[in-house]
Amino acid sequence: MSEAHCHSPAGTQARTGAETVVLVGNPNVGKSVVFNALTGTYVDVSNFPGTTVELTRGRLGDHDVIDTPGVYGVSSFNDEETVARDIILSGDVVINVVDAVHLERDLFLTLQLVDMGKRMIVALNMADEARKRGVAIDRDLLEDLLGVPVIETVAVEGKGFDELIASVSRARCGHADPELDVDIVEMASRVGTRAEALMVLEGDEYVSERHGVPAGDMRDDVYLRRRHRVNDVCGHVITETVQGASLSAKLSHAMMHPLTGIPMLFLLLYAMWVVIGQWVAGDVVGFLEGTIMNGYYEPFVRQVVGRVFAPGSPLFVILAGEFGVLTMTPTYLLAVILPLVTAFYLLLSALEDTGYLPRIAALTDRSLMSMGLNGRAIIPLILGLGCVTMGTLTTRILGSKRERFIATALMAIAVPCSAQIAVIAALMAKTGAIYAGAYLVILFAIFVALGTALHRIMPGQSTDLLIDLPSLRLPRLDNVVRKSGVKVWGFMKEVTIFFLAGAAFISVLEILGVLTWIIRVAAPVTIGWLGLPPQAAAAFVMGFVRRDFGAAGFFTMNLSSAQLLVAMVTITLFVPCIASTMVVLKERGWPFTIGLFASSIGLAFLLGGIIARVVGVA
Amino acid sequence: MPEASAPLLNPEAPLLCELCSLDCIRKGERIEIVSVDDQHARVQALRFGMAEGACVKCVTKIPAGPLVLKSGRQEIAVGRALAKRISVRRLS
Repeated sequence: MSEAHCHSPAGTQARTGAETVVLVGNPNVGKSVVFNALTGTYVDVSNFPGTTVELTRGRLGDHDVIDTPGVYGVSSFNDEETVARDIILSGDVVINVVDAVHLERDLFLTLQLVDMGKRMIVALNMADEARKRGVAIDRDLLEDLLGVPVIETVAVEGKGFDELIASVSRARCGHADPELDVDIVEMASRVGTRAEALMVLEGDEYVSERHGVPAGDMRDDVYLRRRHRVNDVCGHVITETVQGASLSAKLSHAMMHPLTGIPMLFLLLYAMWVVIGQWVAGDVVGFLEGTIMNGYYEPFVRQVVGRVFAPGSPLFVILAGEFGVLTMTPTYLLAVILPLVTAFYLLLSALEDTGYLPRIAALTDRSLMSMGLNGRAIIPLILGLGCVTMGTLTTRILGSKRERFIATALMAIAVPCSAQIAVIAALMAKTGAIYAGAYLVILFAIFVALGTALHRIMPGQSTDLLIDLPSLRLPRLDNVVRKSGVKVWGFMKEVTIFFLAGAAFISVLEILGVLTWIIRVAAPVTIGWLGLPPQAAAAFVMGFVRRDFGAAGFFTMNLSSAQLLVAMVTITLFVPCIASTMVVLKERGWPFTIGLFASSIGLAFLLGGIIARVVGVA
Repeated sequence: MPEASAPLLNPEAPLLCELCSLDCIRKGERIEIVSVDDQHARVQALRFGMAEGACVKCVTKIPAGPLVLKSGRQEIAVGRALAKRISVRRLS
């Protein structure tokens, strides 16, 4: 029956040259591992135009293969779905990877693809894990019910791939929803393909607009029928042997319950800080930056540039000065940001693989709600502790503009990044435990107060938490390494240009004598209001270039414990670094960035001054 | 699968079914989802297999926080505010 639709006027789009195979699946089903196995190595990783959604392309024989972002369905609820939708619409053959353990969830997308009339194959992944959990799936029956080839794979062990590759030529259209037939054929005659017709009927505004037809209103009906079909298929193909509460169910509960979950979360944060803040930011960066870049690379560059431009001349300063684009910029990017971001993404990818993150989201949902966020926001906030730039980019996963606004503001103002935490920890270690404790309490209070205030002031509504809790499993090293590799590359590509521009800008300020001018002009504030030495102003400006520079500037000032507390709180609240400012500017626009600067400078000095008076240094 | 294909309660025996919002369900209770008063959440719930009419179990209720619902091996966490807008019927 559906064969007919397959070959309807534009059932598959005519393309010059190779056919395109598109990999589609829910998040975390092992899609990328399948992609790698099919194509060998990454051929091209790029951002989908206008988004930051990564697209990976490769080749399999004569076919182009495109990996799509993991989605639960095809429509336009977020960037990932929009990208996946457009790739699927333009593809010729779909390989749909489904997680055998979560067939009830995954088949919903499968049946949507079937209804779209795409030629497809289903890769039934993790069939071994499903069997271990007492879930047996009748592959032959599933193939009959769906009407498309179903191949069992164990992606991480490479099982079933030969068969999968061989079956690409057997891809065919499945048994679509018969009740949709009349409407879809009628719509397809107006918009071209059955797939696009389905999108229109399901009310996808973008696709409708593209074809100049009104968006349909059948989504609820179509989805509900599809859900019943999925349940029906599952009822037939799955045989389940019931098991008692397993260890992972207990662990899952413990991760989400405040009594056990909060200590676990703190343990995790502490472990991350030891690895990133101490080990990577301290030892690895210390060696790369201090020994290699400052010891060998920068003197060499200065010598070479000095032969062409006289040292001290404006061009020399811009190229090889203190903030030079050939000196500080590569040092910062390669010796500081690269190791930190790599470590962070490695840890984060491992965490993503375990399925712990959505449980942290459930744990923290209640607390974040009072700040106008839902549990999902914990992911960018934790990332922000590593690098505010990274955290800001990740606010894209939040459900509304309002939440992205609040999360970005909180991170830029009240969350110190890992590089800064390392220096602050070293400085605060010199003070008594009371001061170190006071620093933490003050910052936490500011974080909560700021979030609550923004929640009260901001108009609009935030979205509620509705999050998939994937099974808990151990991360796989190869998967973690590959995934973080892609992310690190994407991140470095994105920040490098911003940082070059920022460094050049600061050099210009230096050439114009603005830095010394600031130290002089700011003296009443630094000395009079904050009770700090005048050079503190330079540290604040440096804090703009690099947040840890800012904090490190206080090392040589011989401050008392009380002065250190004032300085550390002020520098933490003070403006975000240049790289994150640029990303904030790109993500949130000018008005937000100007407001952010005004409020972070205002808050930093206001609270710094108040603390200075409380502890009696001013 | 057994949970989703379990027969719906007999509509002629309404005294057995207690309608209430999801947030008053206790841990361990089995429920049938009656309606979801949120367009986006309804679509997501359908995708996760927890549509109107689905029978699910509340496996965890975080104090003042989200509820965790389970259908088959699929688990989702539902924020408390959203839970108030989902009406359900107790099955046990």
